[in-house]
Amino acid sequence: MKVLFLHTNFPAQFPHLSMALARDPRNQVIFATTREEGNLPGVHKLLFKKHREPRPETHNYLHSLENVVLQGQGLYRSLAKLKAKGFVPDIIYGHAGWGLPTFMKDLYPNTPLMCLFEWFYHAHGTDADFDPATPLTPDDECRIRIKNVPILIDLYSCDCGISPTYFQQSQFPPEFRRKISVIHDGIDTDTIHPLPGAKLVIPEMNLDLSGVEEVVTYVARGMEPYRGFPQFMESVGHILTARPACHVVIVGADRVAYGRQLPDGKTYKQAMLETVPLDMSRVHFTGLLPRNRYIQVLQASTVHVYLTRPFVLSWSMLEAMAAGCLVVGSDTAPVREVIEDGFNGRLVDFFSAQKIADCVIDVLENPRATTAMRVRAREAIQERYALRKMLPLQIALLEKVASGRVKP
Amino acid sequence: MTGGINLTDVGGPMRILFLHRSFPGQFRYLAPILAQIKDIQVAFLTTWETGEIPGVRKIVYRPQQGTPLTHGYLRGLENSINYGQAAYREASKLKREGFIPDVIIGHSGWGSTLFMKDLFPKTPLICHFEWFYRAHGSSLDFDPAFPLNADNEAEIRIKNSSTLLDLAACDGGISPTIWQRHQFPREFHSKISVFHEGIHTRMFKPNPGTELVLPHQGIDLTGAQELVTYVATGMEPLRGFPQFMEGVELLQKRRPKCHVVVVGEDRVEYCNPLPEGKTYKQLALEKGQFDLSRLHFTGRLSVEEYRRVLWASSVHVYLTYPFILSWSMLEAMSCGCLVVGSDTPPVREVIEDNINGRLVDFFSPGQLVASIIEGLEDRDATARMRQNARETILDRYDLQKLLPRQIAMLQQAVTRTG
Repeated sequence: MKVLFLHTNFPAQFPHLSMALARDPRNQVIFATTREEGNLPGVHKLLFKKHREPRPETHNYLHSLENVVLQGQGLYRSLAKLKAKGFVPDIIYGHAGWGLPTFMKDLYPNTPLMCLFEWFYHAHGTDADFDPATPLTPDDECRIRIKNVPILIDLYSCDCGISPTYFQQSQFPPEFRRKISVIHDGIDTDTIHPLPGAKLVIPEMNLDLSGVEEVVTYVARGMEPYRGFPQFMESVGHILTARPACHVVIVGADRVAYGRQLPDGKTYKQAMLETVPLDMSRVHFTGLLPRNRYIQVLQASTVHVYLTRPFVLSWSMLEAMAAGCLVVGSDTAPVREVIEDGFNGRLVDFFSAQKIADCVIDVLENPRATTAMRVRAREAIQERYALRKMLPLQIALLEKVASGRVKP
Repeated sequence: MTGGINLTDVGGPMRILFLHRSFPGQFRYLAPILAQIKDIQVAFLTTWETGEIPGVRKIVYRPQQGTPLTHGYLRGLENSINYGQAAYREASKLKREGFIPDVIIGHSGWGSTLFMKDLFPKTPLICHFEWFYRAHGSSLDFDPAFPLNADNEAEIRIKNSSTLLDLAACDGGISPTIWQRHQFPREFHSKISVFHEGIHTRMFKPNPGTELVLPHQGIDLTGAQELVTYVATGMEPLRGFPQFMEGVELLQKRRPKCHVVVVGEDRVEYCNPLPEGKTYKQLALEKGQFDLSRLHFTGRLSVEEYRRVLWASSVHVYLTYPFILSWSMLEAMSCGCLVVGSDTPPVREVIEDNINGRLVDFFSPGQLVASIIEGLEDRDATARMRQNARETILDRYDLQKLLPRQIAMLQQAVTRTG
């Protein structure tokens, strides 16, 4: 089978699937991307460039769409050269919304197209208007509507879609939901597992918490309101006061991955450190970590905090659960899909730093009470999100779509 | 225009907001009749400055111009957004006055409907869905004279953007024909009801023995025994104008007394203009040899003049790419014309060959002429087809049947969300 993956990033959601397919010598796996770094055994990378940059004069609602079209055109051109040499894939699996699958049906009208659908934007009821502190203007509402254009084009053009969670799938227009299967990208539960008694030592960062009994962890790509960073930092103030031996480890880059920057040019980290007085000898910002170090953090965690607006669920929460962490999560829809309060984790009010802190302190004070929850957290991941289970489902669906047995 | 149709009650007071770039567009019958009903308030947002309908509060919105630097694929959507924003601004004035519509019904594709759900989140939105563009299988790759390149194909995919947004956002949709609904992504088919706008069968009824005299156009065909008619908004390949004109040249040679009347403007409505700046009419007249004393171009006509042409027609020719079906074909049939139509899906949805009209190969002027001549020669055989044509319209496209159904649909939309 000739499989073509599409993602601006590499390998993004597709490392395991693309490698698994590449292991079969009958398959040819090509991965078209704009990211130069990285390689996977057996996976042929096809680098393409955006056709050009969008113009500043374009209507501001259309700026990102222009970018999407230019990405799609860049990909089209690179692939057209391959096609001229005779390459026609049996299946295309692409990440939707950034323009890569958009023109594939024009280039390869007879090749089945599968898309990964992460999110459909709504002005109301999910991420955009979740925080009453940042209400939407009519202009925001209209802009958010237009943001869905490339996704709608992919929705109607594709033969089949995949969303990682039911919550995410439920964002898409009801007319398309039947087309979208829910299969998670998969959590590698073999690599990520509990390690009782693990201690956190990262020599290259001079971080040695081997003597520390209480480690509160927080992981996110950036530091921003979308993932509850401000209220988490506020809760850290309460936690450090109440638990004098507790340390806090924050993994992530000092940037905004989702949502807006602060108007004054400060990062949220800077802003929060200025407003919340903290004992910085017990607060450790690691920046982004290599995979093995990141897993060490999870394995050494006493309490892991995961907060999110109703938005795309992070891998980190599921990976923390796979490592047997006690997750204190926000009581928001994507988290509720996985965590049942008191059963396999704890749920707290997203907005309340005090309640987050109280819950974390409660867990730190009664560590034995959480043992069963930690076990069930790992079980939940093994049952519903483990790569071992998801990968065969993904491959089966891909093969079914490739064989034309899925009617668009 | 709505004479003879009585609707006095829609079950309580209602506020209706219409949106159409043109005025009144497809709502030419629905808007006026609703406006006459007691307890119904009708507002109509449009870009057209001219035209009024009694009882309809017309509000003009003026969209900004797009920038020519925008990516070519996105210019259409940029225009739509500008239309949508301009309509939003005017509609928010209505909202401030306290006019919250119970139902919004808008024509989709030009953008005016785009942001109505943001302004009136609780009001049901019904969209009129005319067309969804496909690079292959309908109008755009139909004519081998105009092949598509890769750039065209990609642009066509993006062209549907504002329609897709409306499809997802609306509470219900209307397409005028099954063929037109069939163009939309199948996921949305169940959301779209097929209702034709309706043909005014009392206005467009047969009137045998009409002679064609159009004083304003200086046309007097009194006594003409053979009159072939053709009607379109413009003169272009999409409606088979080049093929028709080739047919006319043949026809004039074979039927020395036959007159041809062409109604429409010398412009393109849907197709690209010719590169050398010529119109398709000029091109056709240069290419062929015509007896111009028997070929009459009327230009744009009033409804009464247009109806007179249909009344006097011996054979009416209607050719179209697989695209939106024109009202004129149905109005011709409603007048009892013998329609020689192209054997393309929108026409086949209405005409069955030799039953209520004739079907010919779109690309074959020879077949077209043979069929026209049969129609001219055998008036007895065609009388039955003419009658069937009228009955088809009465049965399936009659305004008197369709208007109550359209209104019932609006009421249902209000009740469902109310």
